[in-house]
Amino acid sequence: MFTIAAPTVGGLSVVSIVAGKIIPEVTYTLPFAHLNLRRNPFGEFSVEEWTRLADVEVEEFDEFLREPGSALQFVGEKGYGKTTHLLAIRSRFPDAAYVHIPEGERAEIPDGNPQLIDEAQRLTRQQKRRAFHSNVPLVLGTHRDFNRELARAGRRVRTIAVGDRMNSTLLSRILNSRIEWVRRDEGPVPGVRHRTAARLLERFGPDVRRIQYELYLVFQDMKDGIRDV
Amino acid sequence: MSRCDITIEFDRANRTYLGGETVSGEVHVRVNKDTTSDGIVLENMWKTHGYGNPDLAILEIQELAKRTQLKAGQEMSFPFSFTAALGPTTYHGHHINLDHYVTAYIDVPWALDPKVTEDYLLLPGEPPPGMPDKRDELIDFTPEPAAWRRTLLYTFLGCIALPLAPIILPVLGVIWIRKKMVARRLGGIELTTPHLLVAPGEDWPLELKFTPKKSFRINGIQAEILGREAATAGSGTNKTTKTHKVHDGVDKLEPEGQISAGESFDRKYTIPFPETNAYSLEEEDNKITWTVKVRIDIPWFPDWTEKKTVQVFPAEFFKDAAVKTPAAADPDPARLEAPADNAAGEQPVAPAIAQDPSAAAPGPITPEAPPEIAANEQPAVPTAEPAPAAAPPPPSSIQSLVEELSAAGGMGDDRNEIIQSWSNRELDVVVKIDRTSSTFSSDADERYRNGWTITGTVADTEQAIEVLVPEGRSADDLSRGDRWPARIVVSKWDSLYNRISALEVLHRDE
Repeated sequence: MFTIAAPTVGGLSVVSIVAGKIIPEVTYTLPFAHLNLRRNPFGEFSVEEWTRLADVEVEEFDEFLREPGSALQFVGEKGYGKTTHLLAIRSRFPDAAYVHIPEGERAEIPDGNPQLIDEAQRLTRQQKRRAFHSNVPLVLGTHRDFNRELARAGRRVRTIAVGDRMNSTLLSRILNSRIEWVRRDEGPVPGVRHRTAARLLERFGPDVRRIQYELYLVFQDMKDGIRDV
Repeated sequence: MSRCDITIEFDRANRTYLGGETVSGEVHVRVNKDTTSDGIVLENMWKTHGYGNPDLAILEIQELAKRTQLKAGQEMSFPFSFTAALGPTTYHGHHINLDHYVTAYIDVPWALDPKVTEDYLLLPGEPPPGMPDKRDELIDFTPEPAAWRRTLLYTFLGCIALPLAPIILPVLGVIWIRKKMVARRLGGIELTTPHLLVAPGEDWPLELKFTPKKSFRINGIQAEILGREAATAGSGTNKTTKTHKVHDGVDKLEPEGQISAGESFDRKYTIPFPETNAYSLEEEDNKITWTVKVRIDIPWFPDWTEKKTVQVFPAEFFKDAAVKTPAAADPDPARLEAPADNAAGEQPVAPAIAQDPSAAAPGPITPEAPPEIAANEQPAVPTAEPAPAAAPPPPSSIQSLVEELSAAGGMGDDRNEIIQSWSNRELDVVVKIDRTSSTFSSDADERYRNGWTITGTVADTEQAIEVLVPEGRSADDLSRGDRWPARIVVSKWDSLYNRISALEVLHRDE
């Protein structure tokens, strides 16, 4: 049994010959080469790529987070961009330590300055007491508002509702930068129009994860060549 | 402008390699700014991309150049070469894609490393060393959890389930009662699936055995092959899993009919597994799974079902893969709707299902219409057969047999008697081939047990026939639509499919 590969336009037609029989052709091409991309831009990215692509304005918090006893919390539903904000802040502070607490699990809170804790609503009571009462600048990503508890621990608190920071211009920039990130070569690539971004925002709210899934399906089925959506 | 421009060039323009082949090429570096390099490194890896969190494995790291000072304007080329992984192979699905990559980067201290990644296609080649010879056991991708962990998990689940007992117990009760009801009617059912490791396109054998305790009707027996991608994105409360069916097909094993109490039902089938490159994948957040569910559909009564998980691997990974499917451009109509044909070599057990005359014919393999015979047309004399050592009695014409069978009408017993009366002579036949599959039967004569089963019609008639070809005889060059001359001895009348069962004649020197 062997396999032969014969080049076709844009890819390969693979014909397997098994015991003298030709079995159906499967066409292999480099992924998303027909869109001049390397992959579907709206699939899940690695944390490293996510950090590189984070398009959130966090410079404004630099000064605040250099002050001992400061606490910054990003509050919002899932998919609103809490993690993106935390990862963007982490990349600005070389001594920062980031931890994500998975559901139903405990996680060690690493030492860092600032300390960044994602899914902070899952902190144990003891962890909460220790983290909130220390003097190290603290950044939380949370579904629950800890304003009162942090203030009671003597922290100066800033609370950011992440959903409120999203608008169609920013969304369109985020979506198009993902496309640009997976560009395969020079030349045109598909794009997301500002109008589409506005419509998606209207339909799904600031749930970027949900919006990305919608576009994932659109790009998955974009067999007719490069076009803007 | 970046510190350096890096490009990767593969030795093959189509960037396509088989597992185990050598992937080679060159990494070209053009330095734009004076840079201290701690080394130039090449990585070979695979990674999933799509809806789910990426799963990846770095397969190899090579140092192309040691620590050096790079000068602006310098241009360098570094040849590379490594052995392509044996799997997982390139896959582009709906929620899951899997690709292989070569990454080259310059390790720059205290700065972002200039880096470039290029993808290449990996197709099935050599089988992985862990590939077993046997097909009856699944390969465990995940390490077995320690016994104490399992105990802990069961205890934990038990504790959770305890408060839900008032809900769980009645549900379990209903399931138990249903099982009892089915067992009372069908008796103990034994579903045997000797191949849990499957190659796409090959015939998948299964055997269904039971002795019904009561007589009852069935709407049919069917096997559903389901292939599914499952990709998980996010984590914790953000975790979402999306699934996508890569294949969902139902093969009808038995038509509507009557099951008689006390009559043993012992049937072997082969169902065609679909052509696919969605090979089984078991990674943390990206999985491709395949199952086969066999169902006995009983009207106004709980159905009997059993599900088997199978693993699909490239045909290249099996030494004994026998993929006999015709090309996709010529789809097998028998495959689209129904019957995986009954496996060859069944012994003449009285069929347990009395087919409902009003029900549809079991499928295109078994046409109901009477055969149209070109009266004067004689089958071609086989030329491929070697001359026998001792001259056998002159072969008879199968046309006369077909005419007799046709004249016998719909009575299976009459046809069986006709077949028996012809079973002592050799016949020349030309079979118009419908399919060729490996023989799966422990009941067949030993010489035919590991051979081939050729199914089709007697040429220029509509009379269905299956011929068992002995082990060692080549059936490699036969495909659907071919006319195959053979010398046979008829062995039985297969009343389920209205066809002649026959054995290819073995001469003394064969």
